[in-house]
Amino acid sequence: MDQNSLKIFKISSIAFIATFVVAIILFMLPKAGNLSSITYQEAIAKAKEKNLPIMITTYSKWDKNQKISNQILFTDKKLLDFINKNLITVILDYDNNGDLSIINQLGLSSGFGLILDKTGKPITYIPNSSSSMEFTIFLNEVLQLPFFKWDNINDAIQNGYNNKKNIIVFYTNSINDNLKIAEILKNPINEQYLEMNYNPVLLYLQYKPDFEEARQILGFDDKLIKDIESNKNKEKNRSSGNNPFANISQFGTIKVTILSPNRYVMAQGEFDDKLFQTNNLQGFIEDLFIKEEKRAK
Amino acid sequence: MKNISTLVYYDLKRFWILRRIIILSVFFVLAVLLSLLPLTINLPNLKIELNFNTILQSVLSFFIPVFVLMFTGGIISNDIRSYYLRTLLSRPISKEEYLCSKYLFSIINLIITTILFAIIPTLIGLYSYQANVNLNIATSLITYIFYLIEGLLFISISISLSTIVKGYFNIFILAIWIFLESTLINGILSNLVSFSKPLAIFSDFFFPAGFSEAVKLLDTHSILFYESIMWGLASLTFFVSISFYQINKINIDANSD
Repeated sequence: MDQNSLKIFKISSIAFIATFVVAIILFMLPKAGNLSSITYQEAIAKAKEKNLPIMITTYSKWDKNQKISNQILFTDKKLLDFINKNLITVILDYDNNGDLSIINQLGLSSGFGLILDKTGKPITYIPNSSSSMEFTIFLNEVLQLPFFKWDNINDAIQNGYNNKKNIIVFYTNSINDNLKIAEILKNPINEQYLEMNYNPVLLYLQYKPDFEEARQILGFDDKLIKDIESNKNKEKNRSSGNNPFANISQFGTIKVTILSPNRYVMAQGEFDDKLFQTNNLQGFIEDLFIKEEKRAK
Repeated sequence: MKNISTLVYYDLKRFWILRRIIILSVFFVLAVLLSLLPLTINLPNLKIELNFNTILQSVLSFFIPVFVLMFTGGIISNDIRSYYLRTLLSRPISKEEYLCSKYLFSIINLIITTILFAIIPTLIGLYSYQANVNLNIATSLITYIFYLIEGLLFISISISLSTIVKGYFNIFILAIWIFLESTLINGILSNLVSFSKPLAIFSDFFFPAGFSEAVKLLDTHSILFYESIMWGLASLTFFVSISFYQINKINIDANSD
């Protein structure tokens, strides 16, 4: 009896070649789920028109985790209906150079999506969940954030003339700080106080138009503005690649300015430990006015 | 086929000796007792709903590589060293039949141990936790079959390695392989540079996990589901080919160790 036989080896080798070829063909087909997508620029225009936030998610045929997540999330009919109703959606492709530059500008990494307000300002990241139910819960939480109801600075000033309320501007330097403000405003007393007395505005300083506005209000010599500028220069010098942790490493300082409708700075300060401990926004703002009065004297 | 079943019978007889049965029975009883633990402590009624399939996935993804390491250590090399393979081949048995019997032996062991140590304790645990369990038998069965095939993939890697390296070194390499896949490649590196093409090639081709990924995509009926199955099958057939090629290359007269 011939004990050496290559029969099974031959069959399995043919099967290997066949499955490998099919796998390669399937690999080349795009698979970003059933999420509808328009370009980033179109989304900004459409968001303004429809007054809806924007959700940006990424895709690459080389990124297995992202592909699995996109397939699980964006094939769920309920979730797709919810997204189509409440958000303008953009899929940025890592394999497309144009999209890649936007991904780098926004500081996106493949494990996260990004939610922008109707003006295109990044508000928060949203983790790519492996369950559509979990992702729906995240999305619901995100859409409850107060920033989506807030105006940009020019509209807020215009509203200030009409409703005789001052403008309160919050400056943040990282997306995580946006969530810190949201945490303070989760307290209904704080939210109510803000609504009754001010026209609130969020300026996220990593977003270029907001940074320009902030530079006008805070001045070129402001420490926060200087820090951000020097960090940007360092980033430029260090590398041209994407560093998803660049923004996170600079978080911490949240500034507040209270402006009259004619852009006069009435009071200014920084979020402090006391505010986070007491969760008393009214007390914090009154302290700012007292400090400003003392300084003026 | 008769030769294969006879070989499997003798392998099972050699493996399931009294001492091993006693040790594994003790572990089984311990696993059942641990699963019953929530009944003895007064847990508050949380009224949570648990998906059995999700729990089964996490349990099997942990246990299957462990059991494969347990059964396939030196699976070929030890037979060569102890002259068992030489004795077998002195009879009218081909090397292919011998290798088929090894695959069958490993998969039977995998089925027995996953039922005893993974599925039964999980079911008892869920019962004693008194949670609302969302159980879909068909989906769970498909999940189990996919994980078994993934186990077969690990077995084929281990057998291929055992035809190349001596002693228990095959499971040592396989353990490092699994460790690299789960912690370094799909853990640390994928969080930092998941969109890197070289890393994608590494995780898709060198650390195949097609079947377990297909399980995650069961409900989606997407192209990626079929792509994952194809990657899994490609890896499986690749390592099966290697093992059958290698077993034919072994010269038992010149290579007893």
